[in-house]
Amino acid sequence: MDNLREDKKEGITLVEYLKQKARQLWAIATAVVMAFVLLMPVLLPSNASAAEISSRSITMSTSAASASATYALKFTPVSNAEELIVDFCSNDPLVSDTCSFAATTVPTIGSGVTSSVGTASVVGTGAPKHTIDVTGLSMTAGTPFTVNFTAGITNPTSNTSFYARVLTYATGNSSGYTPANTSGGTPTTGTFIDSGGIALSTTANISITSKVFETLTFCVFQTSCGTAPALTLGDPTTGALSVADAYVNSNAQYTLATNAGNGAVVTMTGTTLCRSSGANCDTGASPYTISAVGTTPATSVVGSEQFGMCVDVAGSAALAAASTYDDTVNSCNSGLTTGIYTGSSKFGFNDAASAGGTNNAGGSTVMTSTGAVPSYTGTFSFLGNIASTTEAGIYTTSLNMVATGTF
Amino acid sequence: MSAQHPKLLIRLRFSAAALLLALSLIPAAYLTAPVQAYAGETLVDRSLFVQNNTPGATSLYTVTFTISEPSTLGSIEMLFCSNSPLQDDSCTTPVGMDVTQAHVKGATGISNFTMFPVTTNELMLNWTPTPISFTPPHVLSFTFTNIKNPNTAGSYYLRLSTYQSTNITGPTVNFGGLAFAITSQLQISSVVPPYLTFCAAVTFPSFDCATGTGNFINFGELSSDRSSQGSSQLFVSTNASSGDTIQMYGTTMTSGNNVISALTSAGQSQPGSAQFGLNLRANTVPSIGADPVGPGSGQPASGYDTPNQYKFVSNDTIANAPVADERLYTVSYLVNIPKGQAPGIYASTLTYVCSGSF
Repeated sequence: MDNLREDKKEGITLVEYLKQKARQLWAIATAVVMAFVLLMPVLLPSNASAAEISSRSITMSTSAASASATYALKFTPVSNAEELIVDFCSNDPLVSDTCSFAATTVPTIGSGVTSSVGTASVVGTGAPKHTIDVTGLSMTAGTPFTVNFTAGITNPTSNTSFYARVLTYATGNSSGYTPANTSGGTPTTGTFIDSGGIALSTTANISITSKVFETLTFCVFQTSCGTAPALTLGDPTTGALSVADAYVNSNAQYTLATNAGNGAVVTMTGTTLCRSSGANCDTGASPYTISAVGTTPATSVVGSEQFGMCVDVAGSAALAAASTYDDTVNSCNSGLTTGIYTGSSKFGFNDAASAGGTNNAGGSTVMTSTGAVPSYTGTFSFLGNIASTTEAGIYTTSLNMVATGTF
Repeated sequence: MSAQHPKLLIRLRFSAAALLLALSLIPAAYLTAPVQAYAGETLVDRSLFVQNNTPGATSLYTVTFTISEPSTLGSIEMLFCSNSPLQDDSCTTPVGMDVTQAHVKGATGISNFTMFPVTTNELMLNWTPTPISFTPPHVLSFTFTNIKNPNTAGSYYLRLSTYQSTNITGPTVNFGGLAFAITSQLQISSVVPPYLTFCAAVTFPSFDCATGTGNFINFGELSSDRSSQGSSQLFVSTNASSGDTIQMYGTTMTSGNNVISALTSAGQSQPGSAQFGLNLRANTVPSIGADPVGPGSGQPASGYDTPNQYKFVSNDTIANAPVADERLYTVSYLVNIPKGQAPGIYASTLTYVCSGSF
C-alpha cells in the first residue's frame, strides 16, 4: 500500500497499478513455466534421446481370427539398441498409455514364442499374455531391422483392430518393462531408447463358392462340327481302290474337350470295309470284307488287302493314341492327305469280336487321357489297299466313335 | 511427466498414422477360395458309356459310379438333362430322348433292385422293403438296353442322386453329375472295280502277264514210234466273286485236208495212233506239264484234270474257279501219229478265253 501511495503521489491510478502487477506476475509465471519446460529433461527422470522408430510395420501371415500366425516386424531404429519389447494392446499404440487387452482383441503370446533373431520370451502375467521381449539383438541406428516371430502367436479370436507398441532398449534394460497385467492397466516402460506404434487388424475370410459344370464335348466331323463325315476311300473321282496304289483319306476330324478329372477314353465300334451286298461283315477273311490290318499297326502294302486307321493326337499333351492306332512313324500327322499314298505311316484296325475289338460291344480303344483334356482337334486317317483277288463291289462301313469321361 | 510430447498432437498424429497403417496392413481380402462345386457330390469316379452314340439311335447305356461315404440308400434317381449337370439347376429334357422302354441288362455291386422309368428322361431304381447300407468305397454299375438317344448331336448330362427313401423323395444322400456326347457316325465307302487279268504264253516266269514269253510250240518231226509233246501256260487273276471259267477254241493238228485225229474223250498216249489232246496236269507219260499253282483255287475241268489222260474238244471248259482266283496253269499237249499219217506240216491255232462271273 505504501508503494500504492507512492505511485499515487506520482499520479498512477489503482487500476493501472493492478494492471502493472498482473503483467509482472504473468511474465514471472511465463518465465517459470519456460524454465521448467527447459529444465524438464534435466529435472525429471526421462529417456533423454527417445525418438520414434520409422518405417515400421508388422506383416501377419494370416489375418484370420484365432489363427496361429507368424508376425514379421520391420522398422528402422533411430539409435542403436540391443533389446526389444513388443506389447499388443487394443486401445491405442501409445507406449505409456493404459493398455486394454483380451483374448478377443489382442494376440495371445504363448510361452513358446520364437524369433528369427535374438531370444524371444513372453512377458507379463496377464490373461492373455500379450507382450514379447527379445534380447540379444543388434539394431543399428538408421538401418532397417527385421525380426520374424515364427511361433507362439495366436491372432485375436475376433475380427478387430489392435496395436503393437514397439520399444527398443539397451542391453539389460528391457527387463524394466512391465506390461499391463490387467486390462486397462498402465505398463511400466522402464528406460527405453526408441518407440513406435503399429496398427494391425484381423478380418473375416472371404469364402467363394463356384459351380463348375462337368463338361464333355466330342464331335466327329468332316468340315465342321455337326456335319456327319462321309468319306470315300479310293480314287477321288471313282472311289475305286486299286491293286497298284494305296489310298488314304484324312478328311475325318474330331474335337474333344473335357474336364473329367479321371480322364476320358474314345472307343470305336463297327466293321472293316464290307461289301454292301454281303451278309457277313464280321472279322476275319471273308469274301465280303477288305481285311483289317489287325491289332499291330503296319505300313501300307500295295496289292494286299488292308483297311486300317491311325489317329492324330500329336498336338495334345493330354491325349495318347492307343497302340493299335498309333502311327509311330509320322504321328498320323505328317504327309497324310487324301488320295494315293506312298508314305510310311502305320495303320491298324482291330475288328475282333472279342474284348478290345470294334466288333465287340465295348469297342476298340482309340485314344485315352488320364485327366482333363483341353480342347483339341485332330484327324482320323484311313488306309485302303486291295489284292487282285479282292472281290469287286461297293464296300462300306459305319464307325461309331464314343467318348466316355470319368468324373 | 512422461517423455511424451504434447499429448493431443501425438494422439492426432498417431490416429492418422494408425488409420493409414491399418489400411495398409490389413491383408487385402484374404481369399480362401476353396472352390466347392456343390455340396454333397459324393458319387465319385462316375461315367456313362453309350454304346451307340449317334443321334436318335437306340443304345445300351452303362452307368458306373462309386459311393465314397457311408450311405444308407433306398433309391437312385438317374435324370438326363440337356442344359446342366448341377443338382440345383432346372432340368431341360433332351429332345428325342426316351428311357421309358429301358430294360436292365445287368448290374454289379448290387442286386434285388427294381427299375422304373419315371419320365422320358428319368429312371428310378429302388430296393424294397429295406434300404441298403453301403460301406465306401462301393462301386455300382448298371447297364440298360433300349434307351433312345437324343435326336441331336451335342453334349448332354446325367444327374445321379441317391436317397434313403425308396421313392427318390426327401433329402439327397449322394449326388454326382456327368457329361456325355452324342455325335455323328463316321461313314466310309470304297469301290473295288471288277478285275480280270488273263494271258497265255509259252512260259511265265512269274505271276505277271508282262513276263510271258513265246506263243509258238514246235513239236518237231512227228513219228509213229514215239509221242510228241509240248506245253504252254495260262495266267489268270480276277476278283470275280463267283469265279472264272477258261474255255479253249481251235482245231486239231491239220495239214491241208489231212488231220491228226483229236482225242474226243480223255485217253492215254498211244504212240502209233492218231492222237491230239491236252490236259492241265503234271504228266509222266509222257513227262510233260505241271499242276496249277498260285494262291487261287482254280482247277482243271473234267476231262482235262487227270494226269496222263488227254483230250481235245473245241469249246470245252478246260479250267474254272468258284471264287476270285489267281492261278498259273500249264497246258500239256500230246501228238501221236500212225505209220500211215500223210506227210505235211501240221498246225493248230488255239484260242483260250477266260470269263469272270462277278
